[in-house]
Amino acid sequence: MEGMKVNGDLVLVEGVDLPATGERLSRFLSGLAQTGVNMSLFIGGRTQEGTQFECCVAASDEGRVKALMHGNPELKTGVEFAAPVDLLTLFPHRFDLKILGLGLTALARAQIPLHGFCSSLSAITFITDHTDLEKAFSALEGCFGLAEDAPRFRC
Amino acid sequence: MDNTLETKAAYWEPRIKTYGFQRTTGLSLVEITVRSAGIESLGQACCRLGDSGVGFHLVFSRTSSRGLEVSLLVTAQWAKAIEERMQEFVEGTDEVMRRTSPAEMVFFQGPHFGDRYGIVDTALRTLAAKGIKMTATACSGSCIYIVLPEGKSEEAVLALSEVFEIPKASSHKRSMPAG
Repeated sequence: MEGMKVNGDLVLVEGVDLPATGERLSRFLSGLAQTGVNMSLFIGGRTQEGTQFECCVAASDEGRVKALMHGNPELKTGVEFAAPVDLLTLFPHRFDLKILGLGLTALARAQIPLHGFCSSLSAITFITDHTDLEKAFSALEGCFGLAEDAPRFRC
Repeated sequence: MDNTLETKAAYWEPRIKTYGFQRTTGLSLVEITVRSAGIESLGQACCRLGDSGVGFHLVFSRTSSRGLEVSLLVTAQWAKAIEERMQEFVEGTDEVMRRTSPAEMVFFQGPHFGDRYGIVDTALRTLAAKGIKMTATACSGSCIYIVLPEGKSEEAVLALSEVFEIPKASSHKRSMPAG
């Protein structure tokens, strides 16, 4: 495992859209783009209850996102700030369910609530409460036995 | 008085550059809902699947009022093994195996995608304008994954190629069956 990256100082925003419209998600994403807010991570999907989504934005952008929500009746309800969070990213460089499983097991045993996770080309990212950062970091570090000289990025 | 000077720069281009679109067909999307008490068992089920050589194309999860909604996008040939393992995991618990559906995926990335705003908005607006409904979308780092119903990825790539720039050497029709 090539180290671990912590992307901190983020807030989690959760939203739910009405079935078969996608209007709220569309307005939310357009609003973020117009106000220049980047999402560190975005996960969205259609369910029977409608489109549900969550994203992480920088805490420094919270004011702009709140202003966007308050200025738009469509976003005043159905979109909310959930919690200050961190993203902990491991770099297995392969699509291995065992690595995901080990990570989930380690975080669960350390009793760390999970807000979600997502894979990408080379990485697996876990979304955890900011208050649990040190515990989560230690749990994953212990589980994967990161070498002492393995890179640990915090940004 | 605060004398801090803040400089902000934005990366903007009239047509968003990508490194090309990669389309994968022959996939299954396995969805399961897990309460927080079930995450350790889910982790162990994933370990056993991993030990059996089961891989994945994309995995993502978000919270809902019911728990953690977990989605596994896998080569269709693995769907049965995953369903069976997950069925064992949900038996006798409150966890819910929601569904398994045929799916396709479009993946793309581009310069500094992880640090720029507006990319996924442009992608989803482009698809919506053509009446293409995504099943799910996940963006992590500089990667954008769009999960689509079976038979929709080619149409999606054609639509995206009208709006995004693709390298001349890369064919936007680049696709591969899963496996």
